[in-house]
Amino acid sequence: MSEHPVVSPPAGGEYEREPVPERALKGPSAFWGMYAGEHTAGTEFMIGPLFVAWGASAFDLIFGLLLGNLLAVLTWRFLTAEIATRRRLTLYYQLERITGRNLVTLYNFFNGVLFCFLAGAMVTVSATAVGVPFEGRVRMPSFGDTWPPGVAWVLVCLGLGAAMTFVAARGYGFVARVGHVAAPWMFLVFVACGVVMLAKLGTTNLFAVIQPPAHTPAKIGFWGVVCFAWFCNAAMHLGMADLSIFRFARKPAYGWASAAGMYLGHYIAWICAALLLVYWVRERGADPVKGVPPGPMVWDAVGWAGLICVVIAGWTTANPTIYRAGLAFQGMAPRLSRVTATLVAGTVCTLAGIFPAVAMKLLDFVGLYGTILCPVGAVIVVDHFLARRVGLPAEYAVRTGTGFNPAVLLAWALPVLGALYFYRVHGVNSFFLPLPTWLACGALYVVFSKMWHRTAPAVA
Amino acid sequence: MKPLAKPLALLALAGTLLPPVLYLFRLMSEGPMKLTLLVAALVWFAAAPFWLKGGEH
Repeated sequence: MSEHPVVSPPAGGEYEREPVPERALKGPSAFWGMYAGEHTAGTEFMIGPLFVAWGASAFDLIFGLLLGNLLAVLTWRFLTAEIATRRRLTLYYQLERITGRNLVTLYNFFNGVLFCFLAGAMVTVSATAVGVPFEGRVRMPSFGDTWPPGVAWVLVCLGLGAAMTFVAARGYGFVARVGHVAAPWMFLVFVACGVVMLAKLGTTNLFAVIQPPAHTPAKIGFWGVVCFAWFCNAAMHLGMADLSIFRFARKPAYGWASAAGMYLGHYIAWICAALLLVYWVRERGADPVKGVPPGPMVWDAVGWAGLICVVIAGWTTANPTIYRAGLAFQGMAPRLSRVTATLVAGTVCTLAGIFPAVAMKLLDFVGLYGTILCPVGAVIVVDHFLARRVGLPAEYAVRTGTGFNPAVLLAWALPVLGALYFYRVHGVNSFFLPLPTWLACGALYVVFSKMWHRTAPAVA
Repeated sequence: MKPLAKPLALLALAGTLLPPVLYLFRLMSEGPMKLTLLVAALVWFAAAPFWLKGGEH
């Protein structure tokens, strides 16, 4: 999944409150490179094996991911990039122009907290690699663990989290640079893991080796894989967070660049990572439901290079996420210094990382992350494509000068609460929820705006 | 270093991809394969920063 949730940077120099001018636009290679790099992250080591643990078959993975990723790319291309290149504003400023400042603050709160948990999952993934050389002394969590498995585990997570927070507090330029440099190599380490696993399994026939575990009911099928691949970055495409990226694109066609991230990171890397657990289940008798942490699997496959890859993949994706969570908190409380806000975010992230629940339930978490954040994107889509056609005032907050648009709050909150109800009470998988939540939010926004904003006065 | 950076980095990428393929076809054993991957990783991180630009934002 993507670890490039974009938060509006501090005012000054990044066109946060104005359209990006022609001279600042970037060529296509910047976007292809960025998407290819950002979607080969530490979480990929968790997601691939989790598909296996959930009983996905080779057909589900190979064709489900193919279709789901295509749908994600089409969403980026025809919604996100389309609006971004017309308006050339960040998500935050675009949202503020429709909803008013106060709702952006609420969005920042959810954004910041969810970033912290996401970064916490990276700490967990990295800790499984750091623990490998201390075999026997650091007990690793299994897929079913929600509580820390021991004191040594807690100490490893605290050490990693503190180091990541320290670096993030100093600004993440250096880590971003390491991430950029490491990306091509990291992708090839994923491929190396997959090839080595096929060698150890004694076949190159994926259909023969990736089979649901016997006597275990499959928790995910073809359409589950399709929806997961489509919506694991729902906050970025349907939710419009990537307006902040594509506002620098010369043409909406640059939206196709997202294919680099989807088909390298969310296709090849996921399948290669899935093969790691397939091998451990078939040849070493691991319980697919309990799983095996990424660190020991990668160590077994490719040795020290794999451990370095897991730590770097976790570190380079956790750091920007902590930094951006800090910015989100700072957006809520502008008096907070960026360093203090980052330290708060890093502390929350480290505490979250100690508990393996988020990393081990990453498929669920990612679905919820999209379900909570992506509906606001529907408001922007309605405002951009439909407002004039259905007789709504576009950019309502700008027209009226209001700091709070109740139509957006209700249109956002009601579907999310409904989705959480179906998730908790009826056990609906979280990755099926973003699309209906997003559609419902858009429809309710039209209804509520029709009811309340029919005669929106224009600000002089 | 700069003129050497690109060929060294490309060599490191080849050193990351080829050993597992050779291992797949039983042309290389596991120990040397893992050692080559580690050496390739070290070479990559020594050479690639001089070759690849950007990544600050």
